[in-house]
Amino acid sequence: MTLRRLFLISLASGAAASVAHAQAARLDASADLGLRRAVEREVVAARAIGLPERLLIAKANEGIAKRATPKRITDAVAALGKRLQVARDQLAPNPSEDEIAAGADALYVGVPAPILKKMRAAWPDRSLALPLGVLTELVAKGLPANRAAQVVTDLMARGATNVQLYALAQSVQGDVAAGWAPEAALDLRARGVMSLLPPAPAASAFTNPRRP
Amino acid sequence: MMDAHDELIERVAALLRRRQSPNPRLVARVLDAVDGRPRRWWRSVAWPSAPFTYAASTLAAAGLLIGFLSHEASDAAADRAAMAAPGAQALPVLPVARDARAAALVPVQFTLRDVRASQVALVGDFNGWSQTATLLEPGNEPGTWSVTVPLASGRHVYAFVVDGQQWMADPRAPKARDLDFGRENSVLIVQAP
Amino acid sequence: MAYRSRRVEAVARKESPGVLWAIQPAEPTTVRASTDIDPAIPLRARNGDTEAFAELVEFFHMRCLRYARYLLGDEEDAEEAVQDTFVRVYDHLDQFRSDARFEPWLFRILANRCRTARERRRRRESLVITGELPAVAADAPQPSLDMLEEVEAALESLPAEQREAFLLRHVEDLSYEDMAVITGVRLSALRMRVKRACDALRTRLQQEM
Repeated sequence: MTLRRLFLISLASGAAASVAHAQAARLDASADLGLRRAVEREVVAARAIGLPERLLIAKANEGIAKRATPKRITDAVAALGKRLQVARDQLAPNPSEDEIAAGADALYVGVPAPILKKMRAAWPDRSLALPLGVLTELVAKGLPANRAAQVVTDLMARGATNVQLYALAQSVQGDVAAGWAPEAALDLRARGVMSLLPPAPAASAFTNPRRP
Repeated sequence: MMDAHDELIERVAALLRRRQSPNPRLVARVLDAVDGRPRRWWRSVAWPSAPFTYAASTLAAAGLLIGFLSHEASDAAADRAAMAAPGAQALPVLPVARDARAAALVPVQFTLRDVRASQVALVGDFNGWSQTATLLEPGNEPGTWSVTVPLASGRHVYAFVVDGQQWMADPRAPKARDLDFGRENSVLIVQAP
Repeated sequence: MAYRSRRVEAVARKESPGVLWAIQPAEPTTVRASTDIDPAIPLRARNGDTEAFAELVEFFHMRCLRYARYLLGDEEDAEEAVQDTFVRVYDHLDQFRSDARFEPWLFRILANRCRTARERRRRRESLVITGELPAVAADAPQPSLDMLEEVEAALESLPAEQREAFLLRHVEDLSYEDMAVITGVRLSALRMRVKRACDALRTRLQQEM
């Protein structure tokens, strides 16, 4: 088909070319032209700076599935784009896509950006997806971000494994459901994990004024 | 800095500006002219989902800026200067799989009891919230639905969509507030044992 | 804005009952909307979206034609320059930076094409051997023309550099920074060219009677 005929047809049908990509999610077919264009704009901007565009498309699809207005959807996608960028920067160098996504989720619930950097410093060579997820969930359940972050990064620095962090999150969740105050539950469960870990080295990377 | 305010010039400009009309013949001629022209797309291929390292992209941007502002006398060179992209191709950086176990997927079963549903879809961050990608299968007992999905370790949010229209959080899972759209999701943390 | 126009008209009628009063007042909008295209579209075109490229042509061709027409003074030359411009854009889109603005990039190519077209025409005309000088010199008083033609003639009487600067600044509404990128000329020189163009136009149009 010649370019001109394509042009004329597109004028008639008003169809917009979808941003097809080998790995990317596809925007829900029910998205109208305006929304499609707005999302493509964000996607193109993200792609230009190397951010995982499929996460943006997924956010748009979430909004579509929830019957949100196009304005809310585009606002949400734009906000996510910014969070992804911050997460990518804080989790440098070379964060994986899962880490970037998890970092953006943490920012979303109110975890301050510098904490992501601290976590990266604690685990430079291991994926932060799980610890970030644990931290996000603790904060989402009402724990103050800095306190929860302190606990998690301390455990990470002391050598806690993903499995132990996961168990911490599950236990705290269960305790809160049973009526415990979140901070009390966290304190208790963190002690539990700490008691299983090798003692702290003489000089710790993280200062904790509460420790003697 | 603004030019000196000048009514006459403004009016002259407005008059000149008004004279613009569409020229569909020209548009068609342009499109015919480029149709079938070979394109050098390989120079600007976007590497899929590969995060650029921050340092590399800043350097590249600086290089481009310098290239963009330079001016050369000759015609073709002038165009080239405008489009200069010296060494701006950021190297693709593949995501680093730190910790092999973290990259492993964990099979997770999602279940729902709903006797009136005729279709139940699982939507979540792990399938791009697609309403068609992951449908639950009916169990032997009527009204039971389930599907098992491999998930990466970490925190995931999800929900069900019943009969293509009803949003439903998982009644048996903790909730996650949704600041973007105001409808709660369900949340789940996954970790390989 | 309406008040300003009326006042200017009254002043004009009083001070120089010539061409000024016949010029229609400017459109009532003082805030000009952005003249650049949605940045996603050139990027889509760059990535191979042919519809997006067609949109680019649709969106910009009128302005490009207007600019080329005023700069070159000839409809056919203008169309050829604009066509060349878009073909070049197509060929070089892969070099368009994703964080750049499309409008100045496009106008740079257009300005170059127009300069080339002017060169070509000058060379063409210089080859024509004439037995006698043209009957009417460029700036001799013309018989009364309609307003637009009057203004166009005034524009055409400007030296090419001033005409280019004037068009970019006042008709295309581009910033001096963009103009510097488009023409490759220093900001101070551009301001001077625009000023001289305005002075010349003012003088010529106020003279007309």
